[in-house]
Amino acid sequence: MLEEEVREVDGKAFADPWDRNAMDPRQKWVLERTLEYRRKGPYRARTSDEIAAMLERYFDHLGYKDARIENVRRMSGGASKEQFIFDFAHAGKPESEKLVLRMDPPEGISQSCRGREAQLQNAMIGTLPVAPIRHVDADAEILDQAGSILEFVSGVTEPTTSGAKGVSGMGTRFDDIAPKLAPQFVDAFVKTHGLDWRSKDLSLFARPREGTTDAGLWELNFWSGLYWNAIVEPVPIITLCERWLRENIPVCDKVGVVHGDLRIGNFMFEEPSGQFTAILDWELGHLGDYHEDIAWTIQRLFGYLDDKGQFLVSGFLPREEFLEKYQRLSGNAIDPAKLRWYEILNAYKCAVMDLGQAMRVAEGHTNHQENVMTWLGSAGGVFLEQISNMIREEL
Amino acid sequence: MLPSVDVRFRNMMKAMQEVVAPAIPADQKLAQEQVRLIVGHLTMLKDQWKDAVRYEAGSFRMMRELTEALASEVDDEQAAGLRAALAQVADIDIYDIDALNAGICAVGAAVDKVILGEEGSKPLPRGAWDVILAYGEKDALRSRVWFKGNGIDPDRDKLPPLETVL
Repeated sequence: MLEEEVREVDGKAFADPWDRNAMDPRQKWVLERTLEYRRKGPYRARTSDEIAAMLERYFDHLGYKDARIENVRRMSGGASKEQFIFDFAHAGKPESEKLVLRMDPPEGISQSCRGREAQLQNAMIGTLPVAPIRHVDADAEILDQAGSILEFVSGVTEPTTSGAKGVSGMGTRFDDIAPKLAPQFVDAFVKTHGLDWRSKDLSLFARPREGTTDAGLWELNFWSGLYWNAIVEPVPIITLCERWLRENIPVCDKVGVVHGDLRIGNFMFEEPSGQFTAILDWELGHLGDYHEDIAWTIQRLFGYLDDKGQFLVSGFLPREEFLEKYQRLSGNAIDPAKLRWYEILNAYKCAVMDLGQAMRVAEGHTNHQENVMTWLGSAGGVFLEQISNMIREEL
Repeated sequence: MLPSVDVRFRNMMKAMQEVVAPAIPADQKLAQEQVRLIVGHLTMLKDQWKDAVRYEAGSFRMMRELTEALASEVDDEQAAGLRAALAQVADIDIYDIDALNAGICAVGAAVDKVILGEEGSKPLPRGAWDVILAYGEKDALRSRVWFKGNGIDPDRDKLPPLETVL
């Protein structure tokens, strides 16, 4: 537990909202490691041959005899990780199997810890469909870069007939298959937030105290830390947003698992059944307030308008229907004031990623996809508008 | 100038689409994705380059106006800091895009300092919130119009023409 000065009001505990050190220690480590990686300078995308050689060394180190790595192919997508699919065989199991390497470039649009992601993903096995993680090298002790080895899961993130091919799943339309996916989508939130996390190995996660402002403050401190370390050009509305957030941090009454990026593009399903095969991208997962996930997924950018002009959350359900179903199935009440704080925090996070971290990465060439960084950066104005509108409504 | 910038943009896009993209093997996903992004960026750049200096000069002007407005809303010490930052950029060459960028950074840093108010210990008056939000709304609209071509903005069809926000 982190020790902070705490102010008591009406039985609730409020930490100093300007205490920038109040943060999950592993998240602080992520910020420090980001600066270390940045100092190493430009990064070049690894070739398939380089990846194969690195994996052979890795499996050899793990004790596999006669490890054979074949058919290394880079997977598309991803604004923060490099992913490769490959066939793996060894003396103990000569018939090959498909595995996935998920590896950190030095920097991405967001920064995270492969060890936390692995713990959380494995904690969800049996609760939600996830790709089990076989091995993790969170500190790049053996792999050239921090990474994890996952079992391959088949499925698609968007209908194969979809004409829309947006960056990171944005712009995807589900149309006819939406009724099959929508209940599973809501269920993913219910089960994530309902996980009995205290019984799982989540040793890389600090636990914010219930009945305090820890959950919000820790998140805000991580993202503002990322921003101030990355800033290329000042954006006054981002700074104003930080001030508003610090002055209005809500108390978290129930601490649970937060996925952090559960939305369109981050789940896989089979066609034509529509059965979910995996919930993806747990890298931003943490212990916190469920309002954060709900506020994230109802963002305009992650949904679209139907033929009647009605906004559909991630292309599935109207906002109010989504909120009603979630509350009924989870038993978690949505507090409009908390939801609003997390909506503003999430817009802030997006602005930090697009106009802070992505710009720094593009300038320093510390990623394999700088063209994605600047593409996403060019969307920053969308979040600045949302921040301005929401703060004005709250004043 | 010969060859013109427009012609060079068009020819680069043509080469990427007609020569480079078809030559990339089907299993080279990263390379395919990069070509699509490069063509996308070139398409936006082709439409932006003639107005780039004007856009940046507008950004600089807006940041200066915000700083002046903010100076009249905060305490004397903070106002002095803002005015000192403005004095530093008074003679900037508004046709030099690098100088404009540097000017935005210098003045913007002074604005950020006032907003943070020594880690919240100095109050930010309501009038200051209003001028920053007014700036933020205008700045966001300009940015959304400038980058409308990326196709990400969900309300891109409702945005005004570029000339109206330069």
